[in-house]
Amino acid sequence: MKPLRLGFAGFRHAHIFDLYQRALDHPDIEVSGTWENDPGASLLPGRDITPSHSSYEDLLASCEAVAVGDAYGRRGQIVLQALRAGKHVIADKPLCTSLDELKEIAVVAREKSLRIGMMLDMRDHGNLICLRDVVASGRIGEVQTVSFSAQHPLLWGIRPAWYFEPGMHGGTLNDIAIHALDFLPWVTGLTVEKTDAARTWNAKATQAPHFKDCGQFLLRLSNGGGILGDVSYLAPDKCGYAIPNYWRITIHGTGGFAETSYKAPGVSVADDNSQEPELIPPAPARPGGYLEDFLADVAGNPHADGITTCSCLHATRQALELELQAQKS
Amino acid sequence: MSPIRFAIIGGGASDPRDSGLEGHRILIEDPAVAIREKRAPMIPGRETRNVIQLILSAYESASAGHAVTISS
Repeated sequence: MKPLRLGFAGFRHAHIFDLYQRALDHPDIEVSGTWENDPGASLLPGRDITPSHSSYEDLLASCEAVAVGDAYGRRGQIVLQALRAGKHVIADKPLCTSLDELKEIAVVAREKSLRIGMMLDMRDHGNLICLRDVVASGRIGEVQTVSFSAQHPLLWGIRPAWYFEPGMHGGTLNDIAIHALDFLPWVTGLTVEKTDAARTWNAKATQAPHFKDCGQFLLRLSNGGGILGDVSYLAPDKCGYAIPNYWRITIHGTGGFAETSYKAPGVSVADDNSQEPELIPPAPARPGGYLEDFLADVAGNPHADGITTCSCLHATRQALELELQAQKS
Repeated sequence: MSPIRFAIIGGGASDPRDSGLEGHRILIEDPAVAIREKRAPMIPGRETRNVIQLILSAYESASAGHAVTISS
């Protein structure tokens, strides 16, 4: 198979380096080049990457697909320019920061039969795969309530400055809840039908009062069940990614419960006959699964239950609508 | 003055019939004793009313489908 020529546009969030390394290592990908609008302001200094192209147009001419890792607020236009040039796109999340941009992205992608992937890597985690298997086994009955915490550390002064510039971040719900909107339907087999409530507010990033660093919401599932989510930036700065409630997901069904988290040693499960919760070890992880899904989608053979153009656009639309609803509340 | 007596049973968690009543006993006993002793109860009526108002507001919000402001 001829390798997919993949160009990289923007290195403003550390996530993109995961994709960059995977692309370098992947036999079916040729990294055609890199471009950064302002290398000095990017995360490139100190890394062994020098932009190979001085303009985005030149980068687009070198590739068949673009990997987007620019600041959130610029991604929508970068994605649109790539699609208009006939290039597939894989982006760090979020894909864009407005519903208008998303609408246009969906139209151009459809008109030109182009594929869109996203770095929604929670689906690749062994605990999440195991959680999905537990739900699918029927052991906990029909899923009724999901509650999750995905509090992140704010890391003021450590995160890139653009994060806190007005108009550049796009909202806490759009940034973090997108993961849950992607993986919870995949885990539960249910769809998110409605937002019952959503709020965002500023609490910790007092230097940037427009930056609403707290976000909570209540969603309704297609079977009438519900999701309670908290994606605030209040996790402690130095160990926020290591505390037990980092991506802690608790699911109760009509016959039992299952719970896991990012750092948990597996999935805790108990059904109505259990004397105590059982710890089920994680399933084999799927490192880089999001990239494999994108490659399969581009090849016209999307993986069953994988991340697809359709699922990316759908989850992004729901995240942006959630953000909008919070702004109105 | 005769003492107020309450039964205390069990402490089980998996069968509601075995649930401990110690916490409830104190909550029931205290206002009764407070009346006899002519003192304020451990939990003033105003605080109890606020909790009930909060719960009723949650039901109202669920029923109406929108946020409900809780009057103080």
